[in-house]
Amino acid sequence: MGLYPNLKRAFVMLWLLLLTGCWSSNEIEDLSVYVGIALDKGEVTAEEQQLREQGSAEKNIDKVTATLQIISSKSSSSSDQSTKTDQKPFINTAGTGDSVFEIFREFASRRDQPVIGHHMKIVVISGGLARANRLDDMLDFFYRDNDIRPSCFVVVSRGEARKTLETKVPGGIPAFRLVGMLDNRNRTLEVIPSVSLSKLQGYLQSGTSFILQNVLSAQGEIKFSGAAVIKGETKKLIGYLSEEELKGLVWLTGSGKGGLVKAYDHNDSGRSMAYEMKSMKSTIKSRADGKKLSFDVNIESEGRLIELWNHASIFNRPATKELEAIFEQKVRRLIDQAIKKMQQQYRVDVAGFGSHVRIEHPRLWQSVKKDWDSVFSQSLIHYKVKLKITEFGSLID
Amino acid sequence: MDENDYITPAQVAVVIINAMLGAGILTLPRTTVNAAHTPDVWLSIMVGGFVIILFGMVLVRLGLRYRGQTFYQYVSRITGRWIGAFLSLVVIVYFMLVASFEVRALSEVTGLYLLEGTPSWAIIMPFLWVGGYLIRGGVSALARLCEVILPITGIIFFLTMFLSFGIFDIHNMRPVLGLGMTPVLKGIEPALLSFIGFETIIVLQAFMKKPEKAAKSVIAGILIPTAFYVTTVVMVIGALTVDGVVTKTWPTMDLIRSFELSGLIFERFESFLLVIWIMQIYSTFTITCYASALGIAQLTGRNLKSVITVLLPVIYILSMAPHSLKDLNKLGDMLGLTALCLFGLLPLLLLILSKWKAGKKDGTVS
Amino acid sequence: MTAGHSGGSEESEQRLQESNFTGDLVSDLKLLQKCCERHSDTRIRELHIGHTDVRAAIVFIEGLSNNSEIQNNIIRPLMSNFAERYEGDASYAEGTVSGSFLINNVLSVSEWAAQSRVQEVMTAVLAGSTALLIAGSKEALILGTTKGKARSLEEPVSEAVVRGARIGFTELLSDNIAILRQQGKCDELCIERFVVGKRVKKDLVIAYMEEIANPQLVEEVKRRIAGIDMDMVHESGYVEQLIEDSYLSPFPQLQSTERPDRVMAALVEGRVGILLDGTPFALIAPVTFSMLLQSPEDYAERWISGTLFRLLRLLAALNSLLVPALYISFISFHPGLIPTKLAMSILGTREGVPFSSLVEALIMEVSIEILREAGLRLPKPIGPAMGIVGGLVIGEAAVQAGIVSPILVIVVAVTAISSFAIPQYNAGITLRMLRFIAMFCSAVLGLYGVVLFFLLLCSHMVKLKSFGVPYASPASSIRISDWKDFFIRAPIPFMKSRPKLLHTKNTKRKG
Repeated sequence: MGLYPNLKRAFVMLWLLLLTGCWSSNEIEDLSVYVGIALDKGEVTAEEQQLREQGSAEKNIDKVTATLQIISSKSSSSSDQSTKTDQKPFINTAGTGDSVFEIFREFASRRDQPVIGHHMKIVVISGGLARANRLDDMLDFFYRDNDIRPSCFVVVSRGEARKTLETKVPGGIPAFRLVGMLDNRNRTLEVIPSVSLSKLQGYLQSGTSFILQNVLSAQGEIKFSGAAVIKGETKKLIGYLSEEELKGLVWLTGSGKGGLVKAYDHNDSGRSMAYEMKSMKSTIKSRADGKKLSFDVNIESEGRLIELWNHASIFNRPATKELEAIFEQKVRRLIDQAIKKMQQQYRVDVAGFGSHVRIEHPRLWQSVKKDWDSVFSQSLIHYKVKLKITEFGSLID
Repeated sequence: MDENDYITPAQVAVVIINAMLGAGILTLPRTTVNAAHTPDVWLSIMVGGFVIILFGMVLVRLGLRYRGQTFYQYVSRITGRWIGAFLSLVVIVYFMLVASFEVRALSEVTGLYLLEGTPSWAIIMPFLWVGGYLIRGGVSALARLCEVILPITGIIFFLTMFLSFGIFDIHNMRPVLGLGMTPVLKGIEPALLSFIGFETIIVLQAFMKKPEKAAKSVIAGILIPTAFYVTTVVMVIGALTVDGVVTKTWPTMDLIRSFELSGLIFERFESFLLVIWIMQIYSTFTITCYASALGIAQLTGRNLKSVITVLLPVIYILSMAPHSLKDLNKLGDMLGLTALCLFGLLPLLLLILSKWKAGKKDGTVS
Repeated sequence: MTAGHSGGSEESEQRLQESNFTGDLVSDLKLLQKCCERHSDTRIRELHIGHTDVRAAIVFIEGLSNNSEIQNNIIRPLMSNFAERYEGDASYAEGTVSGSFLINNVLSVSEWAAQSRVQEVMTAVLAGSTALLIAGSKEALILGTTKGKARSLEEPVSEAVVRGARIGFTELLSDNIAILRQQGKCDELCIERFVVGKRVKKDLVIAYMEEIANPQLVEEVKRRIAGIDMDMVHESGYVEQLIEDSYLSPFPQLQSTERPDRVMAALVEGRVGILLDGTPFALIAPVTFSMLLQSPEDYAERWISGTLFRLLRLLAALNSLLVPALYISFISFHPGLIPTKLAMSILGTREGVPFSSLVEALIMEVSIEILREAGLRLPKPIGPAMGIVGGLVIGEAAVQAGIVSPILVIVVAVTAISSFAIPQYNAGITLRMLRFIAMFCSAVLGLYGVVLFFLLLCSHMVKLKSFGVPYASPASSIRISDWKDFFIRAPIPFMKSRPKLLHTKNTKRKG
């Protein structure tokens, strides 16, 4: 019987709750889900310009243009076959201002369905913007916002970032394509380990320099090419690594999952050959001599000979050792380029040598971590490369 | 006390585990790393666990001297009526504050990740009713509930933590003891705060048929949360790095939000973490609320059920008191420190006093 | 007291019934006839017994008593010549034939009683016995000739199994007890008889294993049954509702079953069975939540499949309880907690649906409940047709019309199927009922509401007790030995001990 009044009370309360309504309730179809964002240098779009001329805008500095890729629900419906013509499944819409959040909320006065960021997958930052602004400033909103997940990836575009969110393929969503491309690490060395917002924050907070994947776009086509170098001290973009330099860096750090090395015969430059990397391992040892640091890097790799051109006769074929030497030389050249770029041109450590010092010489690290980039650029890097061709595919050698 | 209202040693352990796992699990990586600035904080947590076991042992000793009695009942026998009543009151208020702290933390996190825009009273009040309904069933119902939700919590927790292995980087955990023991020691204090909850033994032991088994229960009840905490801290720091952790309000949530596993039906797993976390807050809340209500009931000689009815609104008001998250964190730290004094140092004094008194009595008798 | 001549008034009838037999056959018969005025199916047959002059009469109800038994075992022996033997008998008396002689030497009836009160005799006759009145004897002999109107033994409909005994209880208590006994030879099986119902009396028995069942439990069951105060107890469901712990709880607190093997298994575990005359449903007490998800087949199959079935049912139970609520909370509150691709497809399919997800889900859930209810009442051949019309046509049409989204149809279908996968019918009802509350909770507070609902449910379950046994056990118990028969079904050689939560007298299943 003790239950009864309690139950009644509970029912009354429940009913009250039902009456007062469902504060946070918002049906999914009444929301605009955006999946990608491109941040460009402030450049007012044509529509925005017209709106402003009619006197809509608050005075602000046009620092950033944010382009949102919104899933358009009309066409993602599969039940409606008839309307599935050349209509794109997404809408790109842009806003300009000096506060990312303000730009976002601006959309509330421009779209009937409020935008939500739960499903944002990727942020593309244009190189120009990243050169001019600190990354942590630009991304601050993304970190604070409770909708946007820290699992969202960040890439840099050397050109206009909004162009990377366009496509000519009907039906595809460019943001998803970008995310999908980040998964191709087992096919090419040009895709570096993806950097999510949460990983990025680790870099930003610790003040280490790092690289972000660079993406190029041309007429709706996009390509990962090289990487953008972010200096830890300023948290701004200071330059790019070319594809070759990036490959060198990947070899140096042994972070590749799969890819190839293409080289030419010493004697015959028309004779190309390709090595398909199966495994890559790089052991970095730091040696401290007072404040002077040096690194021994030992790179080992195994793989298969996958392509060999122009072998005139079977007797003229180079020995396996020779082939290995050719490939090793190529890799060394790549690594040399990368080290040169890091130590001499940009003077930053983006290969994670600092973390080896931190782990192996924690006390020393405390004293050098402040200006690690300059300490790094003066330290010596010795490296050895050992490639091993273990198989020849379906051919005997 | 109801004759049938007793709990087994295993239940005591489970209740202590549930009382400990609460708001702390979401913030622990930040608080400890903030103090230590090294990835070694998992060591701090382990050391903290052992310290807490020592504290717990003292409490058990004390309880063993007064079988079948709660702290509220025996404290006045040790210190005399007025001091005893005062100490009981402090403990009651402490439990009340812990309960309201947990509730407030719940409303903050729920408001942030699940129900943005819902007023906090709408989040807190149903929670209080449900909790109140449970504790009217007494300590055995409480213990059984803990037994139901602990396996759920454990399985889901370790599963989600395991899933985050994809973004775990062992380099972030190294070097171990790179800067020596000092940072580890610095990390112990915040680590200790996350262990508050062990003090519920002062109430629980009275309901045991064999109170001498309480020691084992307390040890188990502290070691298992230690495993939870160490796992949390290792996974969070391993994924977010030491520097990444310090800026996050709820680092453990951010860990789970930092990865997506497409292919697994759910892809994102924060809902799981939130669900078990809410359950843990619920158990912590009900346990502390019960401890507080029992204290009032025993001090004033009133019916437990009517005390609960009065207590719930008080807890609601208290939970609304902190103005911001910062205040809330401060309250949490303050509660932790109070707990350490109240249940780390005070029991030792009481134990000595009680032994001395008993010795004196023996002396006069013989 | 002689036969009264007062007509019809209730008072006189009362007196009439309280009177005793006189020994004078004529007046006694008159007395009986008076009593039987309103029982027109009473038959009285007079006869001379044993080729003597002693007159006697047998009284029985037509159809209720076994006619051939009366003829062969009562009338024929009575009319045979036993006069000489009687004269040599110790109980010989002039002018009458003693009852004890007849019982010992003449009548071949197994059950008998001597009764001098008219009322008792009438009650017995109305229950199917035959009364034998002999001139000169003040006591009537009541001879057990009851013929139960019973159907043949059939496979229980409500609890079908693929593997296991095919026999189910019937409506006849004596048969049911017999079936129970036939489960195996056991001299420990106690059957205690009670009579329930104040006006219409019915037999009820409780069955338990003397050496196993906790005596306190048995006492508690007896106490509660003794407390039943009703005109008539129609079905074991009445008993269930009259002796359960909490009438407000949505959970069934006694298990009802048609399967004798299930009852027997429960008895051997240390539980108590309750069987009522006139219903094939036996009750088992105490019950725990986990039992509601178990089927006898779990034990018949090998342990791996048994365990998998259990887990499947647990999943089904959770599905049936929470899936629509989770649907509502994800669609209306947390679009961020579901996978992007799924969110996109839901986004597309829900475009144009005019209702909120709660209303949408309610429409479908209520219609499926109606469909189920309607299908239950329909004649068997129409049932499936109904399912097709309801399930396919309405579902498809509703989607086409844009009233509900296709995903919801899937959700509702999954829920419905899940709720039918629960082996206990009444547990299924409970879950279906609670599902609606869960839906409301989630419509108000989203996932948080669902969690709160779950916690409330758990809190209720841990507070609930069935005959002193916590309802939530063994989920709420760290007794590992009990977990061997919970979600998992351990290999039988490992299940050595009885459930500890029952506090049985004898804990070992094996020697």
